[in-house]
Amino acid sequence: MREPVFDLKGITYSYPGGIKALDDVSFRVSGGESVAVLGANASGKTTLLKIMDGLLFPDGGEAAAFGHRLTEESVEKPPFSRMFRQEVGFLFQNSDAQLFNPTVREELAFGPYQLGVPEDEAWRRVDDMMKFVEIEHIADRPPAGLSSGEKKRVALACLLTCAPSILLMDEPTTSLDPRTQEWLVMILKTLRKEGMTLVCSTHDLHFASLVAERGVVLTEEHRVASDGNIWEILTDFDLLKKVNLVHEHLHEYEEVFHSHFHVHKREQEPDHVHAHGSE
Amino acid sequence: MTTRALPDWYYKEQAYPEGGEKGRGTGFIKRALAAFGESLVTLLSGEEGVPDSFLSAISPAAKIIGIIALIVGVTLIQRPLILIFGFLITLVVMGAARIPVRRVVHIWLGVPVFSLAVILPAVLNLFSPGDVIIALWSPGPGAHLGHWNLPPAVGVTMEGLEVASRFMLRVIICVNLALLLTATTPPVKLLSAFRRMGMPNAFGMVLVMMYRYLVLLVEAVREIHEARLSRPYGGMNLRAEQNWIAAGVGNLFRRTWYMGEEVRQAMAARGFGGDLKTARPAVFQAKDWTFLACCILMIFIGIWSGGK
Ligand SMILES: Nc1ncnc2c1ncn2[C@@H]1O[C@H](COP(=O)(O)OP(=O)(O)O)[C@@H](O)[C@H]1O
Ligand SMILES: [Mg+2]
Repeated sequence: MREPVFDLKGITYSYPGGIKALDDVSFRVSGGESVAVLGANASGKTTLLKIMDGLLFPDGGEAAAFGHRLTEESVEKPPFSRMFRQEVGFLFQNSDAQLFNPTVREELAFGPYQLGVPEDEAWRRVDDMMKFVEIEHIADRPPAGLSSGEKKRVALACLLTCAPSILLMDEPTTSLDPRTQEWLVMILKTLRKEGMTLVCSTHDLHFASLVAERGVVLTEEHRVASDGNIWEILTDFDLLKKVNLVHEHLHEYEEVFHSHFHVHKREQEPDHVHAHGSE
Repeated sequence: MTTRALPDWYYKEQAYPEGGEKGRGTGFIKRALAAFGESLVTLLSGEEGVPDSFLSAISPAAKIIGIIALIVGVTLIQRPLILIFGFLITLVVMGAARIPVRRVVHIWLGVPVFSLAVILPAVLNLFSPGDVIIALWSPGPGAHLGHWNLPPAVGVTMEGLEVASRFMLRVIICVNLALLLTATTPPVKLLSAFRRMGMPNAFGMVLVMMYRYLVLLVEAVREIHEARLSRPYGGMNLRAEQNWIAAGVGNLFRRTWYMGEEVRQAMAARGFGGDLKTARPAVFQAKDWTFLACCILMIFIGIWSGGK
């Protein structure tokens, strides 16, 4: 089942003072897809995700979700606002922004409470999700004092207690240690298998290769440079160089780089796995 | 059936509780927060503030000395004509310093309008006698308000107008001068210049830290607000709204505490041991001396031509 959940047409956005952040950006996201928004620093990834979440509104072009145009009015008006906020979870790059309750447990319960989930079910959701992201041992601690990896787990769990079908994640791997990154990849793979729609902004090509099937590449001029299969993007060295996602000096390692992703590609692609299995 | 990775409730159709329009509170808070955040960020970050000009190139210390001297000078000028002339000069300099018109208007709408409200009664002959040029009310001789004797005809006096216009001109010139200093100097440089000029160390330190905090805090408030918007909200009733605000404030305090620790640690990590070392010693260059000389010249001309 693949129906479009996000439809962005010619999005342009500038911050006050004329700072350009997005220029004529168009793409669609279908239900169940996993998309990596790739771009160098300041290319406009965060802005793009915030527009998709109805937190910012484009100066030009149109953003729609679930066939509803996202405007300042529409994202505040029930019933759409409620459906939209429940179905779409946003993981901020800075977890601190998301966490404002006295304890982790209450933090997780906040969303279901707002949704009007009955109390006992709300607390059941909290328990289930604490187990799911492995944070039971910090249930009663204040989120503000946790490590950044723990904060990320808590922030993700907070979104999941609302049972969203779409997750927008802004550079989720920054400030995570390798083990937590690996854990995140594992969780996202699980969620993807359960049919969730995932959109991650990142400049971590390895991470993108592990969680996404499609890539949307933003240039430093805030435009879409490429949109397509993640493997084709990750093996297009010239493209990645042009948008500053790989360093010029990596040229010497171009061969290594290529084979690295090609190996991954072989590992990841389902038919190859099958082929292996039948041998 | 295959085993599911997520708990059962995740797969259920989510019911969206009925509810009317959102309470007015959210809209108000949202607007207030947005306005507060925006103005403070532009004010404090100084990102907008400092256009390249001859004034931004002058040492902050020289600017502070020159402009404080000019402000003192302005209070000594009596003749309205000279004050008007001085006002025009500040306008020209502001133009040359490329201070955004928006910023000027912002300030003018604030301070002088307030002082106008303060000075307005002085144009009437209620407090000081004078020749009435526009009569507003004639209570007749011997009238009084409580213990207060009213003049036979209440109205605008020539003397009152002169006092008020002199006052207003001085206020607006001083405002312009202050703007010439603050709009052409990044806040951090301004602070360190004040410190170099002998402002007590601890005081300057507190100001620097406060400045750092405010920027961080405003950023934090904005992000929290956005995060709040991105979470589901059913028709939040007033209690829920209040709880949210309380939680937000509590969270802000906690974060300030952690941030305070970290800001301090970050400063310590860069070798801060209680005394802020400035990157560059304050050595006046030729342009700074020229600026000061110009200021002093202006003061002399102003007082000579417009003093009592
Ligand atoms: N709140 C803001 N105010 C002004 N400019 C901003 C703001 N946020 C981002 N920008 C600018 O917009 C551009 C795109 O930023 P962003 O979307 O954060 O990029 P990314 O997430 O890819 O690093 C950058 O040039 C950035 O400096
Ligand atoms: Mg970003």
